[in-house]
Amino acid sequence: MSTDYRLTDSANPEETLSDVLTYAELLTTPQLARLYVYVLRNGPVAIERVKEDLDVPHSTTYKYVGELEEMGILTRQEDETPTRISVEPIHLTVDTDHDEVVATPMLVDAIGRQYDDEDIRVFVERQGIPKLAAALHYTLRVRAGGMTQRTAANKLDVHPVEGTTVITALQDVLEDATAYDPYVEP
Amino acid sequence: MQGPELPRGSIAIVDTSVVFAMGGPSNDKYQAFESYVTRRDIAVRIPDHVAEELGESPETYRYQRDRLRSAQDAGWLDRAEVDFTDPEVSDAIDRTRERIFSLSADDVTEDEVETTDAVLAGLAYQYATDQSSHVAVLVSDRLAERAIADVLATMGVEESTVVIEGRAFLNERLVDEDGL
Repeated sequence: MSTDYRLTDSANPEETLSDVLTYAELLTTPQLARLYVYVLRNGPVAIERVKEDLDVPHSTTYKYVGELEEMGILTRQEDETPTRISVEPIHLTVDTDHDEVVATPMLVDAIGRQYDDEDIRVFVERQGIPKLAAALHYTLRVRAGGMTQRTAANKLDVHPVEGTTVITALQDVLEDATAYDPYVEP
Repeated sequence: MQGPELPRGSIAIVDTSVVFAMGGPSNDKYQAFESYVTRRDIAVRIPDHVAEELGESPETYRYQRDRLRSAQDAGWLDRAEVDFTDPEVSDAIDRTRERIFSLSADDVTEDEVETTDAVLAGLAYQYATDQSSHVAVLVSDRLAERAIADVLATMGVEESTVVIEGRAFLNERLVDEDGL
């Protein structure tokens, strides 16, 4: 990352950068993102159920569970049969020159929805993940009453129709997030 | 909390974001809204400005244009021409644009405020005064909702107009359908 930013979440540099890497992995692997959010919403949950509900192959499910465990955000309840898993909500605050940008499970959810949501998929294909993160940031600001959707589209530097399309899809993500993301205000 | 019902035979002006939130004809929200406005004989209108904005969008978003087209083909949605030559109408638009700017966060510049948002208020004023029918404006952001409602009240048409949060309205229609 070449931009000038300051990470405020942790005083420990190793922990902070480890959080950044965890986020990078979750944000660039939509299927992993989808699994993470499913476990966050339903955990503790049996691995078999995750596999069935998400219709993910056995090997992929265990690979992703292993990855989340290595990142240190997944816990197994070994004393139970079958073993159930749960994940922690992750939280990263980046202070930029203009604004504070917060990355929470809601952003991971938006990434994971690319499979099911045409509006989000089209936007990511055209504009990339950083722009989707920015769109979510502005969706929060629209929700707080700080600007209209068309102003947000101008800030994002996209056509109003593209902006309104993605913000409409992200409003659904945001409303659902109030149920599982502790960092989103209801 | 149940929001307002739209009177039979009234006019509903919708912004694109509300049309997008309905999805396409196969979506439950689209069908619930269609059945509500058809049953109550409500004329749904979209300002020319909004339709043109949609027409100029990147080709990838053709599917959004098709959604609007299906509503037009089904006969419950039409484009409406805003009469900019009527000084009161253009006054409503100017005032709404100013109101949006004054309610916006400090980092929003005047250039970033779009006239298209304000045109919705102009059309509402035009219908409320010309056709003396009840007019609802459906938008899906809090700021536009507040700015449009403030201006319509200042211009003395608050009795015959209402500004509604479109997404909540669509969700209520889904509940209605389930209850039938």
